[in-house]
Amino acid sequence: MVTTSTDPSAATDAVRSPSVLVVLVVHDGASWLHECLASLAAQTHPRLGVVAVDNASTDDSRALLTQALGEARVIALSENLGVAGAMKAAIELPAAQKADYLLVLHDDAALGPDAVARLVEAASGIRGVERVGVVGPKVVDWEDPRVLREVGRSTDAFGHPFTPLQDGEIDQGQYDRVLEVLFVSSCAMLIAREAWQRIGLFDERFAGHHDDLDFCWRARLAGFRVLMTPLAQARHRDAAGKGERGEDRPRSTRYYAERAALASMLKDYGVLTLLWLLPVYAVLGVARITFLLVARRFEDAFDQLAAWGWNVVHLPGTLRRRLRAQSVRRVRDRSVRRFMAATLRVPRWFERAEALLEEQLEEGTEDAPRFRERAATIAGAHPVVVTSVIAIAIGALAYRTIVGPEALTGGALAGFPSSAGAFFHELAASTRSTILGGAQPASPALAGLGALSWVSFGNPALAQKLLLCALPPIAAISMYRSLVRQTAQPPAAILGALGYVMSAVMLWSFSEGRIALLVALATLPAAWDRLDAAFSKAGPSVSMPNFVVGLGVAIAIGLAFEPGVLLGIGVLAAVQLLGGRRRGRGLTLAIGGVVVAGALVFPLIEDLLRAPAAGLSSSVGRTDAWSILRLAPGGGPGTWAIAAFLPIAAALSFAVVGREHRLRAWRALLVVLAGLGLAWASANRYLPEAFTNTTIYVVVAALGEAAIIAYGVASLATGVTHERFGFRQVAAGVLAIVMSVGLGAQALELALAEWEVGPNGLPPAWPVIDASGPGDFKILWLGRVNGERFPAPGGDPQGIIEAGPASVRYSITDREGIVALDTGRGTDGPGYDYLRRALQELLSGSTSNAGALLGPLGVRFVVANEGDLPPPAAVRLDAQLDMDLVPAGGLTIYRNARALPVASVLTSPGFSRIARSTGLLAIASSARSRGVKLAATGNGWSGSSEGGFVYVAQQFDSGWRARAGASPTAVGPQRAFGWAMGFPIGAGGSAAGGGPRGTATVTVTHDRDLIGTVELWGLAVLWLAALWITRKPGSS
Amino acid sequence: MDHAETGIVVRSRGQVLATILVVAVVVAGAIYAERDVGARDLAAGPAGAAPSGAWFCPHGGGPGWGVTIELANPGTEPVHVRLTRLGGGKPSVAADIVLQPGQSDAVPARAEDRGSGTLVEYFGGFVAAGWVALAGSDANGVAAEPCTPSAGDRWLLPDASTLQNDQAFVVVMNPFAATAVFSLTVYTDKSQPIRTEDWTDVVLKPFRVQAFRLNAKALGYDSVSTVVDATVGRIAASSLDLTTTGGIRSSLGYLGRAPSTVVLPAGFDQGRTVLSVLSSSPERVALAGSLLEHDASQPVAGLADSSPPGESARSFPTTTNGPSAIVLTAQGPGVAVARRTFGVVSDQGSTIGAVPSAAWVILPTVAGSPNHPGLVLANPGTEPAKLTLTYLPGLEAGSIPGPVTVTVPPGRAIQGPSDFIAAAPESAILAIASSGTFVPAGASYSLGREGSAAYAVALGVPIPHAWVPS
Repeated sequence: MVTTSTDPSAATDAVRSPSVLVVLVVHDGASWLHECLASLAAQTHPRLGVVAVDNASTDDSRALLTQALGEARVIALSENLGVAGAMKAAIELPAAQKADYLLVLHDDAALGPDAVARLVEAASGIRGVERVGVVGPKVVDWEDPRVLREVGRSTDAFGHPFTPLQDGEIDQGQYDRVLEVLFVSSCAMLIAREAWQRIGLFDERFAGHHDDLDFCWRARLAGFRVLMTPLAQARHRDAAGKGERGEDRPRSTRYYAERAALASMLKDYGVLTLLWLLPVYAVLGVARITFLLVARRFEDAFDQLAAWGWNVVHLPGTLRRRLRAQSVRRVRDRSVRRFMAATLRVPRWFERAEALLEEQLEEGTEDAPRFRERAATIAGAHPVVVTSVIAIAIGALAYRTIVGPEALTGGALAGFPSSAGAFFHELAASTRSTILGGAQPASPALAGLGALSWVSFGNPALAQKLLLCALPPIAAISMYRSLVRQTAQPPAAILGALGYVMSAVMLWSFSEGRIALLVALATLPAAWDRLDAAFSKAGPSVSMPNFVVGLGVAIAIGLAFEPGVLLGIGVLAAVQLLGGRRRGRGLTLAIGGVVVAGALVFPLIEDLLRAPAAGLSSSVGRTDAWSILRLAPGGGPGTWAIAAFLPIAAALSFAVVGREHRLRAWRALLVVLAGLGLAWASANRYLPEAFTNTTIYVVVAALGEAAIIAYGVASLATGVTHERFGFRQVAAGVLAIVMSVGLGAQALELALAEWEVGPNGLPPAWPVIDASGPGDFKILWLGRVNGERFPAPGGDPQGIIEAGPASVRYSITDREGIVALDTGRGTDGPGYDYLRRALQELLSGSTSNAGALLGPLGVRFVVANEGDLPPPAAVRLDAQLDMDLVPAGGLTIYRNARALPVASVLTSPGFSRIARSTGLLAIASSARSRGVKLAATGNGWSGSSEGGFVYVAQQFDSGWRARAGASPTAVGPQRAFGWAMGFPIGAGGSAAGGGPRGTATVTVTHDRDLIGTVELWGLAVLWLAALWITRKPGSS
Repeated sequence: MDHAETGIVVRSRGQVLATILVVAVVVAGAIYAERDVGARDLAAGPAGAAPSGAWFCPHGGGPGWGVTIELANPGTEPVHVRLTRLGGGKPSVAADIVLQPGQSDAVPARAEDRGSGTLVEYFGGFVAAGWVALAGSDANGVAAEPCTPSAGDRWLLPDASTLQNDQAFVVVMNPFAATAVFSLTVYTDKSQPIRTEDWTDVVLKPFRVQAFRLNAKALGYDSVSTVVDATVGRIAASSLDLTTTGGIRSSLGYLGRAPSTVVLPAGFDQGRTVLSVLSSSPERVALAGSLLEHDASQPVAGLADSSPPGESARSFPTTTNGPSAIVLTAQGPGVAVARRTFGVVSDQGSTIGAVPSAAWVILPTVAGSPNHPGLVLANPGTEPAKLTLTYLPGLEAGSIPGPVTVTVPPGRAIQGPSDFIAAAPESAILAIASSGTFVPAGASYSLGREGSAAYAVALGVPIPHAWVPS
């Protein structure tokens, strides 16, 4: 806003008072109209006329108007046309055409006695302030005039209105100067004749919603000033906003604001401004919709979309009005934008974030004291704002190596496909397209990843970065929301959440790009909170169906990304069952939640039930107890000794926890002890394979420790300062030191860290593999059994082959390494069984033809980190006749001379006989095969061949078919090597594929799976239903 | 102030004690887990279900040469054997046979060039493999040697001579699907190691064999040794010597590094032996050796005081009497020793050393008939080696005698039972010790009567522990 000064002498120097015609816009305002009329009657301005426009009132308004003004001064409309319609009707009067000024006045506004005179004075009598087109008064509350309602308004660059006033801000004279603003409210708006004649009237399409913004904007474009004078005062009842007019708005405030904002932009901005502003607007709009959808605020998201739709439908009208607005333009956009706020109004976002986060507090603790009255000692009046600002500062440093234009690689980061459609394609595909194929369905998580990739401008690499960067804050928010409900102490919840997000396991997961585990870290606190509510005495605060579905959604999201979450849920539920209050109800709700979760990820459930170890287990995690105690499943930034601050702080907090949180603290302690114990047993291979998942147990322990910290701090905050000095005070001091040092050092580590993921996260030797020729192939990753991941992009081990001192951990991937298409999906099936057999044979030392054994799998390379192979295993690999060590710095790479293509037509005599064998000896002794490689086509493979045996190194699925040439007959698959597929096809055929004479095109495709399609749609319906049931209420 | 009055939760001493207890238990548990429990031991995996292996035979050859690959299956299951001919061109499968248990066989191999070799793959059991080379138009004599089961990146080849009338070759074999890149360094007793540009970073394509003529680099030396270092890939290497006066001889190299103590058996020779010692490292080498004979053992004359300089090849002549074995101990890195023995008339034989074992296959060392096979059994240990000799008859073998038992006294080298050995000279012999260990070698004359025919000597093939017949 621009401040100008008034010149009182200017008014007194006026020779002749300007005429003012008040256009009183009335609609069902009988209850307060008399005050409005009385205020008009009391005006001191000498040349004042009044005309009322009744917008089809159904109450006594018209009678009152007629009584007060006379029939001639009342225009009765047959329908409510809003301010714009009323103005249009009014200016047809000769008096309106002649009046120097029109004063638009709502029926729920009452002017101060000299308001009109002051408005006119501001419009015409301020020295040096020329071309004043619009003037508004200082608007105060109808009931309490001390409270400010309006002092002129502004917008951001995208036309979203905002006021500089805080809610309930008291008038202390802080705005008592004439302000040049972007727009003033139409509740009392003085308009110069020159202005409305030049720019036209209000846009009637807005139906009274934000039409004042557009009008004033156009006035500014035409070179008129818009002022707010505090000398004129009006009280405003805002009857429509309070719902006192007896009419329901069909849409939310967001809808009307968004509609008007976009329309105003399209009308009022210049072309050059629109060229850069509209794309930014689109990006932010999509991000907003995404956020709203993620937050299950579907109605708000729909309103946003509906506002866009309205603008699309009304685009012709908008363009016509744009021509008019631009034709009278006298100033550039930048002159108007001086009165607008910054493009990104970060503080407003934080306020909104705080409001959203504290919903949990309001829902969970009705009688809890207001936070701002209690939290001044820790984080001031806005803990979320303060924490968010600090977090953003640290995050900006932490993310510095990630936000560049290059795609991320390294760590255990699963590669995203090149297009968003690949996620949906995989989701809808009848067979798995990765590694050894098979019928394993894709995880519903792919829908989320695909949607995120789509909204990230169709750029999955960007989506990957967004996800990686967003998940730690989301995990912290999830933890905060959980703890604030349980403790009713935002500062305590913040400390707990900070401890959680700064824990070694969180930083390790981020450093390694473990998106699935980060999702688990984000969802487990939500599940823990719901389980706590389910087993609590008070019970859930929402309806039971809503609660059960909410719990199911929380579990399902985690499950879809990281099935091992189920183990963590199991621990949490078992502890609640042991220490909860209402076990019957809690168990029922928990089972209900799991059932709902199962329904939401039902394609994965069958696999989990058939082979639980493949989905649930993980072989990652350090074995030493001290690493596990400080919650560090691996190495990297933030996993150092300082990470022990969390367990130490938890122990201190547990010691001081008060009676009100003691039961919860004991349960959390059980969670911690169970998590740590299971993590150690898991890492050291004492658990059955299906229950082996060190990282999830460590996450559970981190969750428990963070919760204990929150309980302890909450207990301390309730009165440690009022108690006699003693242990609690000492513990509080020590706890403060531990948390300060721990969080500070971790923050410093964050700021300085070199993450495992980054733009150059692949080993220098990777090009040896990457540049090894076209076509798909597999990589077998090997290393000693030590709980570490493989070098990027090998990802985590899929299992262990026990062979005494030659034992190894292993993983098989496609040529690009681990991929996000396999999110939430284990590796299971006869192909993997065959792989384990072949590996066992290799490590037994009895074979020198492991290459031939691995060949049918398509394994072209066996890769290990330098020095990571157990010496006996290295000796056995070196002894292989058909595997050659390739020189490569940093990696030990063996190239398999006997690798078969993923799909090929083999012409070697006897291959089909060998393929029918399942015995390793026959495979090892097979002669080198010859053939033609088939190229991938998206839904199969194709190539030219003279016939032979089509071999496909994918797990057997009867839905595959091979066709040769123009032959309409498709050949079904035979089992090859006991797990893969072979199709005997005839020789030659027509040259249908355009190949050399005597060759034919061979294609291998999969028949459409109707059941799979139905399942997919069913899954979509289930998710939509679940999200709808658990949706948040709209913001209006 | 009374806490109860303030409405504040009063501290609980029990809570503090519980915390201390929990922390103590956790820390003690961690210490216990780290010190006394540790990770669960990884189980030994099951035995292999698809045993297979390979032999690399860089036998070399020449115009008109006849090379046979000798195979023997000492096991109890049939073994599928595939022989692939390797040379300067594309490889080709020579034979795909099944060798029945307890049998031996001889398969002709391609050997028209010096750079010739054979890859022997076997599946489903274990076979022993070696070669017997019968020189053709460019030389006379017979050479025999077992093949090597391993390939690698460094080979030490101690035995060669480039005196007048001698032609020495190094045969390098790349039996793998990846290109090999290697360099040769030649050592003599007089000059610095010879490294030349054309023998540096030599590229050998997959499944190829190449021979290098040592005379081109070091002419006129009685003792020439070679080290072959591969920087890329894996290779197998042997030496091949042709003399117009002394027949042919070949011996494998040592892969990587030679054992510090090796046994070098030989016999049925004229009593003249030359030890070729390669010292590839810069340091001097200390040598000690003892000569085992049928009735005595004694230090090898002149060897105890010798200390060959580094980066050199030296020869140490000595005399023996009848079947003998030299137990040689070398103190120092990069040392390799071969024993060159001389037949009664002119032909020579050569062999590298081996370490004692309890089970061996002695492959035939004769080429054609008439022939006169011999067997040397050396026991360098301190207890008698009681062993049983069993024929693994060839496909065309006639009447085969039953197993015989032989005891080799400690510190002795004896001749195998003549009648037994002579019964099937073209069949392999399985020798298994029920106690003690030993080193066998076949030493034979072919194509003539004793004293006027081609002489060859070859070590036995040790049987891996898993495949020793019970």
